[in-house]
Amino acid sequence: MEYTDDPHPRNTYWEMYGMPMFDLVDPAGVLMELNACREAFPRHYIRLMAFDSTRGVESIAMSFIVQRPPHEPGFTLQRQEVAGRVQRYTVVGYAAERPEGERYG
Amino acid sequence: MTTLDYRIPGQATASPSTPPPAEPPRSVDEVLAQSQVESVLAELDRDLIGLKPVKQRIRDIAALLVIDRLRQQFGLQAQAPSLHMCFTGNPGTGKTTVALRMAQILHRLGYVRKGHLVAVTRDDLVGQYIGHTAPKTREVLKKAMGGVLFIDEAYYLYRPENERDYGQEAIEILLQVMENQRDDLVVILAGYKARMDTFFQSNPGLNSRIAHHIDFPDYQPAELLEIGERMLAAQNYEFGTGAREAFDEYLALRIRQPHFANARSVRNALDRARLRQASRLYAQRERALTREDLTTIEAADIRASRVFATSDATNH
Repeated sequence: MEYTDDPHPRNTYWEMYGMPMFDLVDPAGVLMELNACREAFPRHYIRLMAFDSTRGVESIAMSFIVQRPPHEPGFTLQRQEVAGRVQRYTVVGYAAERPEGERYG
Repeated sequence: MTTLDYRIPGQATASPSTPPPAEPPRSVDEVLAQSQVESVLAELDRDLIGLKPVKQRIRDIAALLVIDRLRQQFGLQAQAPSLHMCFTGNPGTGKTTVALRMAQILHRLGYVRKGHLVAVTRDDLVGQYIGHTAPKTREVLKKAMGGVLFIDEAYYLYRPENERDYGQEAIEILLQVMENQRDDLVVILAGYKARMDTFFQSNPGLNSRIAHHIDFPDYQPAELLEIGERMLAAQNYEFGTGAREAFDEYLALRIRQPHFANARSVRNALDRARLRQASRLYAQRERALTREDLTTIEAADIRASRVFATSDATNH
């Protein structure tokens, strides 16, 4: 389980909440941890990631977002003129203007 | 159109043990038929010798759960009964065995979703340094969710002689989950009677959250003998002529000795008898051994026990 408040789609650096969970038989254990995380970070993005060791590789088998901030201001497209009339585009989230931890009110 | 197979490789498909009922059950019989709990109870009666009060209590609990199911059909809401239990009794009286059965029964009645048993002791719950205990306890609890958490020798969790012991922290987390997530988890504490009593005296919160205190009585000599025979039969052995009587005498002597651990002592005694039988047969190199030779425990195998020797020494 991981959380972040940086909304950029290319943001791969999410923070891990608690310990990774192994060998759970029932989803209740995950839900307990998830509810604790929601309480701690009510305005963050939270995602769950699943690994499957039976495939013999240590890569993500499934990943999904389970919580979003209540209000997401969205993104702005920034254009930059560079040499030879070439345009470069950047996506910047409005929420990311504020420092980490102060975003989303 | 073919249905897609979404199975994860190497994983068995999860098949629900009880198919969803088409018609809501109306009678006790229908609930029993759907849950097959009767067969578990019958198995319990058949496989476990003695333990009358334990079986009675398990029957009561099963009855309550069956009736609760019927009440649900009429929308009669009752709070989910608290099924946390405490098993007390001397060593070898079958606490772990019954806990395993309990998990099955609760699963068949639909009280726990998965019906697995996670057996832990103090070491699995309590950490070694500050901040280690809470994640450790929580991890065990998460693993046990949907099933039964069996804490053996639970009184070790609380060590009054060391005020900085982390056991108290584990107890607090345990209490919190026991109270808030009754639907997800059943906790069974086990231990010796006297030490569990002092444990509960120092942890009244825990005591009040456990609804069922079940005391496992010691076995009678006749019951122990029967248990011994079952154990042998399970391993394809049998008593030879006079061996049963010899074992009866052995038990009578052994019970009076210290550190008698009921069924566990019986098992150990039989294991040693098997060793002696094996060396007896091993010594007869020339002989062609029949099936009977290989499966029979002779009286001599049992009478060679140290227990007989020491009792002779004390009698003289």
